[in-house]
Amino acid sequence: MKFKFDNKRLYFDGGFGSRVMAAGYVPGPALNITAPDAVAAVHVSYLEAGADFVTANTFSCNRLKSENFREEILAGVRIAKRCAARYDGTYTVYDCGPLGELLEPLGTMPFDKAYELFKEQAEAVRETKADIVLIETFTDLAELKAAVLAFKENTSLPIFCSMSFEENGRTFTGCSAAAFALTAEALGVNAVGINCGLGPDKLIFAVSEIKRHTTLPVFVQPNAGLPRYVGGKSVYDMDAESFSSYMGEIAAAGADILGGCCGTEAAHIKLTVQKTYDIPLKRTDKVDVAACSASRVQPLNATVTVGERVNPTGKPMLKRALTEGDYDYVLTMCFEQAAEGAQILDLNAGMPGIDEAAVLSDIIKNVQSVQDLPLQIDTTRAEALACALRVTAGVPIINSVNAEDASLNAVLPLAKKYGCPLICLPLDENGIPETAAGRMALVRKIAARAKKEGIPKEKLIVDGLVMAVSVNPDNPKITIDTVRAATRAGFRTALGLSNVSFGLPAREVLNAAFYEAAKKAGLTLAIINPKTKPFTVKAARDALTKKDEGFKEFLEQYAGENAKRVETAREDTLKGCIVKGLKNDALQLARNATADNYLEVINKEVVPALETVGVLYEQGKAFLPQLISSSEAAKAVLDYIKCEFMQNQADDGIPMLILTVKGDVHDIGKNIVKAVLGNYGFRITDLGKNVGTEEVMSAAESLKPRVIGLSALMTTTLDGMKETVEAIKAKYPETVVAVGGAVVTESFAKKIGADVYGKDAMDTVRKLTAIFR
Amino acid sequence: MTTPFYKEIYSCLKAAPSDELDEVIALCLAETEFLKVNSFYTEATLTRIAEKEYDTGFFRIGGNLITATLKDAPKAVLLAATLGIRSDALIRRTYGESAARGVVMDAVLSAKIEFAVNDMNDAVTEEYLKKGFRTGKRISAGYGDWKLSDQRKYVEAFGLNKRLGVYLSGADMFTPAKTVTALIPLFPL
Repeated sequence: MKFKFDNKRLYFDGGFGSRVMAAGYVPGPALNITAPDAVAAVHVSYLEAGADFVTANTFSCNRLKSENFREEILAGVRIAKRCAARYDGTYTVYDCGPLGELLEPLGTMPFDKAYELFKEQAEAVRETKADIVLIETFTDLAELKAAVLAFKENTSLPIFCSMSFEENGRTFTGCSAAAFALTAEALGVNAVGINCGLGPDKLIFAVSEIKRHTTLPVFVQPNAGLPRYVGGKSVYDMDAESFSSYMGEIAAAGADILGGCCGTEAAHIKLTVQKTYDIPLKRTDKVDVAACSASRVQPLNATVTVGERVNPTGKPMLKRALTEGDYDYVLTMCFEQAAEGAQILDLNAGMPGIDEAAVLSDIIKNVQSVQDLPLQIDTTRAEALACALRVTAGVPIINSVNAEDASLNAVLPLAKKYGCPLICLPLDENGIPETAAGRMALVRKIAARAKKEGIPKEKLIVDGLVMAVSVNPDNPKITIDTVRAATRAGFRTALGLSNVSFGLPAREVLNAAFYEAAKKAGLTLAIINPKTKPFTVKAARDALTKKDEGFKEFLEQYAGENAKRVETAREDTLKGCIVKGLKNDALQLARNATADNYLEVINKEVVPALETVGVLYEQGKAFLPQLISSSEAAKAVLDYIKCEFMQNQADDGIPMLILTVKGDVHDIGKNIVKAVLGNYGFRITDLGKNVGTEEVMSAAESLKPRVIGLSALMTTTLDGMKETVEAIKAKYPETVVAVGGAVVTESFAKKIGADVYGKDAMDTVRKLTAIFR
Repeated sequence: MTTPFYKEIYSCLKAAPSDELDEVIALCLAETEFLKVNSFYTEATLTRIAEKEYDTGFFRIGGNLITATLKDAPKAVLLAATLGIRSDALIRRTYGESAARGVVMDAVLSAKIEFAVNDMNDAVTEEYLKKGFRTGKRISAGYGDWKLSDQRKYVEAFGLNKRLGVYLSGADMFTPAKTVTALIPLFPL
C-alpha cells in the first residue's frame, strides 16, 4: 500500500522481543523461519489494538549478525504482510536496526562497508512486498546516513527513520535532535522520529525540538519507562495507563504518529489510540534554512562567519600537510578558527598532485570527529563533492555552482539529493559580468534550473563575487549592489571578503569597512579568516557612540590583543622559546631565518634547545608536558623552515613505525614517545594499539622503516611482543627494533632480540639518535 | 598533589609530581566536567562447568585467573562503565591542540573511569554486605590469562550498544576507549 499521510493520526505497534520471550522464545529474526506463528501472533495483537503499521521482525537482519539474513528478511516481511492484509489501511514495515559497530572515525567501520551491509538488506527488501522502510534505534548520524542512502538508492520505498536520545536531547554519540531532523529531511526521508532509550515522560523536549526543525510527520515510539535489570532480563515498569497519558503529552507536543518500543504491549497501544486519536495534529509548514553538523545547528538568517583558512591556495605548509596526509595540521587550523569565532568551516583540498576526492573526504571525517561546527564543502570537482557529501554527518553548505551548464548539470542533482544550501556564483563561460544587473541575470538562470531540479530558492546563496578594489575602483560597489539585489529578491548571500583588499596595504582596515557595507546590504555568509577580525571598525565605532555599554565589546577585543603582546615578550631567543615550549613565539622568531642562515638556525638554536630540555627532563627539572611542548615548538619551527627553504630537498627523516602490541589497549606511553621522537628527525607512522604481527609485517613491507618501536603495558602481551620482534628480525635483520613500556625490562628486551630498550621517552630518544647520528 | 586520583595520573604518565604538571592536570580536569559516567551492573549466579570454566548465566568464562578469582564464589557481579564517545573526541581534540596536553588528558580520563569503577566497586561491596556477601578482587578481561576478546561477551549479553553506547571493533577494541568491563566475585560471609 502506498504510504500517505493526511489529517489522521496514525499508530505504530509496540515492543516485540519481550512479547516473544513471554511466549517462551529467544527473540531474533530466526523466529521468522522457526516459529512464524509466534511472530504472527504478536503482529495480530497490535493490529487488534489499533496499530496502522505492522513492523516485521527484521531489526537485526544483517550479515554481521546472521549469515541467513536474506531468508530471514523475506520470511519476516511475508509474515507481517500476511497479518496486515487482514486489516484495511495498514502498512507492512521493513525494520532496519543499526549494525552494532561504530563508523569511522569514532569507530572502525568504514562508511562504505556500512553502506554495503545496508545495501544487501535493501536488495532483499526489494523482493518483498514491504510498504515502508523503518530505520530505527540509531545513535550515530553517519550510520543513519549510510542506511538512508542504501535504501534510497536501492529501493523506491518511503523511508521513516528514528534515533534514540538520552535525557539531554542527544544520542550517545552526541547527535542533537535538531541536527537529526534537519539531516533526515535534507536526505529526503518521509517521516522522522524518536524511539527506544527512554519512556514517554522523558521525551517531550526532544519531540518539540524535532518538530521545530522539520516539516515531515514526526513519530515517537518510547519504551515503557526506564529498564531495570532483574534476573538477567530488562523489566519495564510503566503501565499502559501512565504510558498512554504521557503519550497524550507527546501528541500535544507535535508527534503525529505514535507507538511503543521496549516493554510496551498491546494494552499500551490500545489505550494510546483511545486517548490520543482526537488530539489535533500540528503541522510545521516552514523551518529555518540551516547548516548543521551532527551536534550543532547554524541557522542562515543573519550574518554568519565562515572560516576560510583550510584552503591550500598560497599556503605551502597546508599543501605539504595535505600531500603527506598530516590531518593534525588541518585540525589545528580548524580549532584556531573555531576559537576565533568561526560559525561554519569552509574546507577546500583543491591542489595538484593529490586525490582530491579521497583527501577532502578524509579531512571531513577527521574534522567532524573532534569539533562540531557545520561544514562548507569547497570544491570545483563534482566527483570530490559527491564523495565529500556522502561522508559528511549533518547538512553542509556546498561551495559552489556557477551558471555554466556543465556546472549546473553536475552540482544541482547533488545539492538536491543531499538537501544542502548551495552557494551560486554568477559567472559563466563569458566570465564575470561587470554589473550587478548582469550578475543577477545569471542568478536567475541558476535559480530557474535549481527550481526544475526541486531545490527551493531559500536554499540558494548568491555569491556577490568580490574583486580587488586595486584593479577597478568600481568593484566593491558592484559586489555590494549584487548582495543588495539578491537579498531583495529573497536569496541568501555570500562574500569571500578579503579579496577586496588584495594588492593593498592595511588590508584589515579595508576588509573591515567592506564587511560593514556588505552586512548592511544583507550579507549572510562572511567567508573570512576569522583571525583578521573585520569587526574592529564596528567595535571602535560603537565604543565612540555609546552603543557599547561599558566598552564591553571593545575591551574584549583589544584587552585580549594587549595580553597577547605581553605574552610574546616572554622570551627573545628562539632557543629560549623552544626550551619553554612557546610554539607561537618560536614560530614568530623563526620567520627571521633566511635562505642563507636557516641551517645555522637549526644547528645553533633548535638542536641545542632540544638537547637542553632533554637534559632538564632527565634531571627531573623539566616536567613531561614541558618536554612535549618543547618538541612541538621545535617541530613547528622545523616545519616552517622545511616549507620555506627546503621544498626541493628530499625528506631525510628516518622512517619509523610505532605501535602497541597485540592484546594491549594502553597507548599513553607510546604516544609520548611518538610526540618526542617526531621532533628528533624521525618520520613516524603510528599503527595504533592492539597491533598484531601480521599488520606490523605488512606495514614494514610497504613503508620500509629503519626503526620499529613496540610498546606493552600488560604482562599478558609480552609473548605477543616477542613474536613480533622475532618476525621482524627474521625478515628485516637490519631494522632497528626498540621496545619499551611498563612491563618491559632491559633483560627481557635483550632476550627477545630487541636492539634498543627505552626506559622512557628521553631514554629512547637518546639511544636511537646515538644509533642514527 | 598527593591524592590517589592524582597519583593514578602520575602513574599513567610515568611522571614525577610537579606544580607545573598539576596545573595541566587541573586544566584538563576542568574540560572533562561535562562527561558523565554511564554504567550498568548485574548479579550473576556461577556454575562451575569444568575444572577451569564457569557459566555466569549470561556467558561462559574460563582460565587460570578466573578459576583463582572465583574459587568458592557462588555469585559475582558483572559490570560495565564508560565515559561515552565524547571522551574519545575530547582526547583527539586535545591532542590536536597540543600533544603535551593530549597525553595528560588521556591519562586524566583513564584515571576518571578507573575511579568511577572503584566507586561502583565500593557501592557493590556495601550493597552485598547487607545481603550477606563480601566482595573479592575485581578483575577484567585482558588481565592475566583472561582473553581480551571476552569483552565481546559483555557487549552482546547485556546489549551494551544500546544500553551504554559501547561498541567493539573487529580487533576487540572498545569505542569509547575509556570503557571498562569487570567481574567482582561475591563470597558468603
